[in-house]
Amino acid sequence: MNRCLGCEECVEACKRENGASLCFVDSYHGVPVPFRCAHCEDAPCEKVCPTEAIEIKDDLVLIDAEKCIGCRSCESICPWGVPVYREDLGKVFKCDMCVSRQKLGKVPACVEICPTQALVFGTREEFSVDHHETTEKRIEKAGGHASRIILPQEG
Amino acid sequence: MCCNWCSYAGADLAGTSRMTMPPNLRVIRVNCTGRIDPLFILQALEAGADGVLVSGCHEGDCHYVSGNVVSKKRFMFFKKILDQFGLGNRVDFVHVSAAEGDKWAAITTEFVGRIKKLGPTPVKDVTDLTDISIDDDHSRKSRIHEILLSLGNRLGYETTKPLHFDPEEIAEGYGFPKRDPDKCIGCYACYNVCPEDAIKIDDVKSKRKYGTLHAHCLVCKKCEEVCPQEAIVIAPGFELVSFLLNEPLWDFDIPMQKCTECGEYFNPKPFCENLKKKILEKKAEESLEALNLPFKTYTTCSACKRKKLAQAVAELAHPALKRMK
Repeated sequence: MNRCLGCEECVEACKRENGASLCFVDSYHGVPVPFRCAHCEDAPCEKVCPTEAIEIKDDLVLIDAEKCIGCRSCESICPWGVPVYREDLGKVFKCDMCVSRQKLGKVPACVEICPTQALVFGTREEFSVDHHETTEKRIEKAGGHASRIILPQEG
Repeated sequence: MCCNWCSYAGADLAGTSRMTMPPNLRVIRVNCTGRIDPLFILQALEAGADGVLVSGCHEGDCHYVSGNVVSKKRFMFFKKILDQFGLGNRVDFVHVSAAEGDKWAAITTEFVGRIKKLGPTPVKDVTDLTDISIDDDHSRKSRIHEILLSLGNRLGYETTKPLHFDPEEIAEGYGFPKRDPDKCIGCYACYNVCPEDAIKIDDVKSKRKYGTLHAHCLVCKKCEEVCPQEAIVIAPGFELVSFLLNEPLWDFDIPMQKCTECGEYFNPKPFCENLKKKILEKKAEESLEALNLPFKTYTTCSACKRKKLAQAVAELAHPALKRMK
């Protein structure tokens, strides 16, 4: 979060990889917030799918494009609003953590392209340690003082 | 029935060339075979015609680009209906060009011979149809149903409803997709699966319209298979007589749900209710609630969900943002 610049490079990379952008960068008052499938443990999209096209495999929530009938149930239930309905194919697509790239030993396209390493790829255990240094810590390490951005105060 | 441009000229040529033609043939000139409605053939049969021969230009020669192709497609399907009454072998579709007078003479002689072998029409109590007037599409359609019904009755078939036939009598490959407006939740499954794009969905503000292009339907039953609500069945019956070839028959409307955030219509109401029902069934309600989402889960569109989440996350990261309103 602290590192995301809102450059939307990940969106472009996803477009190149999957044909349509399956991740989003929204912003609120200039604060960029990247979105992609959270691969929920208890995925609501899996529960609403009428054809059981969505299944959870190795912590990944995947859509089987052959079973998908394009009813858009998952798109509507997803708490993050990330599944994308592609009108040209009549099916719903969402982030699959670039399974095809992983098989080749690569990291997902968005992670590879991210210029500030705001996106990292790893298991849940890896995330539990402090993977990111915060901006302040980095500046401290460099020997300076952490400077803060002063936001306009109310009134 | 002859097309004005090719077959009628062909018949003329046969006449002026003094070729021998069967005397019991009545030629009716129409502008194009595309003009021939199934109703015309039906009425001819009902009026006691022993056979009906439709003759048009060769494919690609039509003066109206594709009238004969459209007509042939329609005719071949219509013939299937007549097959059920045992009248299918009394109608035929041929191509005769303006230069083929000899072919015309040969075809008519052969056709009349074939009908003669079959004997006179099995339709009894032939009615006089001189006072028929067709006002609009509706009366025309009901007229077709009426004739089919009376034909069926007079041929000794038991038909109960004017529109549909007895399911047992319907052979494989007949029927039309019939939707149940109470079961349909308004998704896109049938629309996506249809190979002929015969199913049309149109969003008009507060409602989503569902329609079928019956002329394009192949009765492949894919929509019946795919429907997650089992709202579509291939009903035994025929609904091929839509007035315009490219205008679907609109079945019903589904009310749309307004997004609670932006106020735009985004999903059908029954669709949202169905999602809620499913979540309740799987007892996943709690885990959804535990996320403590800053919007209503079932009645918010995807874009608004992300917007609200972005706001929540941004405020969490920069608490000062909360005061910026």
